[in-house]
Amino acid sequence: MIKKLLLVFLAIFFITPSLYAQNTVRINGETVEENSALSIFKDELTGGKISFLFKTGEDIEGVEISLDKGRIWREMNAAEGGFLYQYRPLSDKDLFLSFLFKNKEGTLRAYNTFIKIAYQKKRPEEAILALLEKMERFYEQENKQRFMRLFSSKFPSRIKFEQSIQNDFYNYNNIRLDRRVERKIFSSDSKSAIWDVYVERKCNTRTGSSKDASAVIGMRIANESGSWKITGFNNNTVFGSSLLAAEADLTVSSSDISLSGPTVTVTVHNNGDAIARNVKVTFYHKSGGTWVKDGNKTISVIRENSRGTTRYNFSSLCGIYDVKVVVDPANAISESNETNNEAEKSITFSPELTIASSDITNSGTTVSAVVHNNGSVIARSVKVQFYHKSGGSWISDGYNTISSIGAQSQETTSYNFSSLSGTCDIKIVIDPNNTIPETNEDNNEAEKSITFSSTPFLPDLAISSSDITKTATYTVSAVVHNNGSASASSIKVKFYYKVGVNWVAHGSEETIASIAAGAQGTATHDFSSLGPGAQNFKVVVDPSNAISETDETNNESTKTLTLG
Amino acid sequence: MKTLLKFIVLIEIIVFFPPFVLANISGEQDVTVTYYHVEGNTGNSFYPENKVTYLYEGQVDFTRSFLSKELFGSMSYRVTDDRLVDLQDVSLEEFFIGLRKDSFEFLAGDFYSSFSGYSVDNALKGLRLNLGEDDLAHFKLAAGVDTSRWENLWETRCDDSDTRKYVWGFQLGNSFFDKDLKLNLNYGGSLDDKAFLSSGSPQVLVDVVSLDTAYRINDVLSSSFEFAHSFTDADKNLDEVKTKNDYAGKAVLDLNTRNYSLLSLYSRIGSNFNSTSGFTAADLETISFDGAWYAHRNVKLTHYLHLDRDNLSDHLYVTTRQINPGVILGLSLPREVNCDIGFDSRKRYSTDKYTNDETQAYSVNLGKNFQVFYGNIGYTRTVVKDKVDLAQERDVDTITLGLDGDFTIREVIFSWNIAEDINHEDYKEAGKADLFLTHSLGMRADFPSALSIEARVNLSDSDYYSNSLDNNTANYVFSISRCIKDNLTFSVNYDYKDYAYPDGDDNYSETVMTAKAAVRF
Repeated sequence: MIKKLLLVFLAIFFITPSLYAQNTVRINGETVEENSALSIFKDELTGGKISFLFKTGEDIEGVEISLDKGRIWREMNAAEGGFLYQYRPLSDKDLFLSFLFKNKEGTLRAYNTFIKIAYQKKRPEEAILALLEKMERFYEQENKQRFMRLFSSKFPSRIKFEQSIQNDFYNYNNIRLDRRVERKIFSSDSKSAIWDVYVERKCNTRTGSSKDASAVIGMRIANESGSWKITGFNNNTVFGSSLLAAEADLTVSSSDISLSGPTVTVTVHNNGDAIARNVKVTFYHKSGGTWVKDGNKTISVIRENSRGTTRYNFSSLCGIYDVKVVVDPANAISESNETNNEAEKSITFSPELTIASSDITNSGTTVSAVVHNNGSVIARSVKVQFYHKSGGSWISDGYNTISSIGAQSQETTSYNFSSLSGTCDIKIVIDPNNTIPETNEDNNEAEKSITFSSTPFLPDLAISSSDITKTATYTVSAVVHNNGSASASSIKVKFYYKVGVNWVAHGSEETIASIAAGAQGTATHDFSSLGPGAQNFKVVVDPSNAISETDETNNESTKTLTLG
Repeated sequence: MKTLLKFIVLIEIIVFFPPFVLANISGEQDVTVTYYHVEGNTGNSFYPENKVTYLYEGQVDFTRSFLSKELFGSMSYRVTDDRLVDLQDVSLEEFFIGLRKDSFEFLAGDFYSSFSGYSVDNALKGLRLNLGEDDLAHFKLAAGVDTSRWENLWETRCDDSDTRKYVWGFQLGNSFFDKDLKLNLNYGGSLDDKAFLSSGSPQVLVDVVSLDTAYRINDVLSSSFEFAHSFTDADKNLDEVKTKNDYAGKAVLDLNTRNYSLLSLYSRIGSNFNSTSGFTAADLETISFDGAWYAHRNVKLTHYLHLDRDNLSDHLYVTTRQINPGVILGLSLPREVNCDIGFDSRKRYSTDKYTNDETQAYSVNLGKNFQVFYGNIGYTRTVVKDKVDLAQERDVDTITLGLDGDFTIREVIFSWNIAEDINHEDYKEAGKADLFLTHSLGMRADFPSALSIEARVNLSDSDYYSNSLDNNTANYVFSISRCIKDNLTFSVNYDYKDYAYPDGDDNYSETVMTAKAAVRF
């Protein structure tokens, strides 16, 4: 074996062609020159066999033939004045013809003809049509083995493609295909071709629902060692679609962008068939004609045919800005459509000042107004104008200025309509000159009909003799009532005892934190320094008149109690 | 359509009308009448329920001497009302005309240009200029429209599924060191045609430059390389969409000794790389080894290892890897028996753990030449493992049997074949199995009078465990063709296909009968 191979090797590379000038090779009855390349089709064969006849001028005993570059040798039979071998090709293949013959002296000699024969059962167009027919049949029969044999080992990402076909055959039942050849173009040497084939598929899923698909698939087909194989697909959304087409499709549009308080809310849709994880969303605003990146947010999971939401606070922006949202900016998630991941919207970032009639209250002639800022930005120097209606016209009374109202916050301002009495319509206007830009300028004023009472809302602290009691051996308690319409706070209570005809203050004042209108509070004082015995006591509430009251005459009372 | 008809008629006049009659004219004219008939649930069929259609197809090839060069051309056209064949009543299928002499060729019309795998590899309607021979200094220029149909060039109506783009490019190449080194510089460009894009779809512009080489190192070792860089403007009409550039590279080393051959390949195609053809994968790195060891004249060991992965830039959330090793031992046994014993494993897994499956296949195939006929039988056990979707786990037993042969009786050549496929898929989780059976039988007789008769039967039975969608399909084909004269062939074909389902409501059958006359000249 080794000797034969060595001889062939030497013959191929070192022996000059003149040595074989007397050799003749006839293939199917036709003499073929060395270095020839010829194509033989099945319909040219007799009895399905290729006939090789070798003749030489030398006196030789036997000849072997190889059709695969000297790897496998077959004995030739003496016939027709030479040596004959009939080969029956079973499939398309390339044959490389070489001979090994032995002369009378027993010397082995190799003869490489450099003849290449491309055997094809069918002519190129016929062969490719047969290939398509097989592709259709094997796919319908869910025969993965036979189907994948139609594809070249050079088919891009062939391993994944084979897995996707396996998935198809798991997921789809009752597959039926139809095809229509749209274009068939061959290369100049007819060894490769590009065919555009419209393929339509009908099938059922494992749950029984129907699932149709169609596409014009560009198929690149090449003759590889005699067999036509598919070497590439273009625009294929049919074969292997259960895996290859299972991709997420993240989308966002301008309608998915909204301003909610100080934050921009974005809804990202996943219209694909695959789950999307760690979906990064990048926020931009336009400044001076260029997009400025503000920051990122991440949505952990968006399931197939679902959506997810994220929010971003553009705290630094004030005014009208174009905002851009880019989903998966680095294309980190493989999607069936990468072109629908951006959206833009013009958004007004501003305070949103509002006031309603319920925000207006009064105490006596003092009117209080609660001003809200529902916007995304702090409002500064908020002017609040106060009006009252007189004779059908609004008369401006004056204004206050609130230094600032934070975003999503509120502040209260008061104005004293000292000249008004009775019932009057009051109007309060926020930012009357529209100096603060807002998303809504129509909710900045409110009206309310207010009754201005002649008696202002004041407390009325009162104490009587029965309110002064001994609550412990040397402790005197005083219950203070607030009979007014307003609460009172930090109420001082002073305790006295009588020495002779004079009232002497004892100790320091007691303080009641607050007494609401209509309520009461208690102050206690320790008189243990006086010792046991009967004493006259006096209790004075708000001794320094620090609290304005409707009645300042009922603030003290006396009582005799026995200590000890 | 009128424009097209005029065009076809004009070409025919040029070809046939003296004094412009050309020296060598050959071609074929086919007329086919087809009858479709569908019974049962006709909505399931692709065919019309009851219709007769006509189809006329013609091809004219011509060559003649012109200005000391060879003028050549070809035209194929079709007239039909059969929408399963063509959407247009009249269509020009292929057309080209050109001039050539020695190493010069100029062609206008349909052509397929393949400069390299990463650059131009398109079928175009346009112009091509080739100067020089591939193995020597040469220059190739190609420009045209990549679209399926000629009608698309003037029809305003465009089918949604059609695409069209403009493609252009050139190749400049030469060989050195006695042709041991071949070097090509390729450039290609493509631009989507806006008319064929759905509203809102971006118009993509691709420019790609590549350098490909083939170097024969010595008698047993050769190599080839290609490095390509593409520049892709994902939306030509939006300035803010930046051009993305990326590269693709490929290196092949081919060892080919007397007893051993090994083809080693490394390729890397970036995620933003694009060729003009669209046939290349994207974002894929591949390493593969394909070897064959001829251990003995009767023993051949084929082995391979294929690896690939995506997410090359590590910017995707998920990286998926594939590994596919395999080995096939081929034995030539006594009495002309061939035997193949093989193992193949295909594992696929991803970093997010949502893909983790493995398929192992063990196969044995036996073939024997019985002289009168050739027979082969094969058995494959496929084990599908899936750690994520247990429902997919299954053991598949596949048995194939094929017999084919031919014999002659009184100068009549009879060819026949029988094939049997049995596929049993045992799902582990469900504890149930799908069963697929296909049987096919074919017979053909070629008479000395150039009469051929062929009959084929294909029967398949699919039994699914999961639902009641089992089906039985029966396909009967019978055809007769007769070469009436040297250049006139007449054939009749009968094709019947029956689909049967358990509940009977979806059952349907299709009958397609065709009569065809073909004239060659």
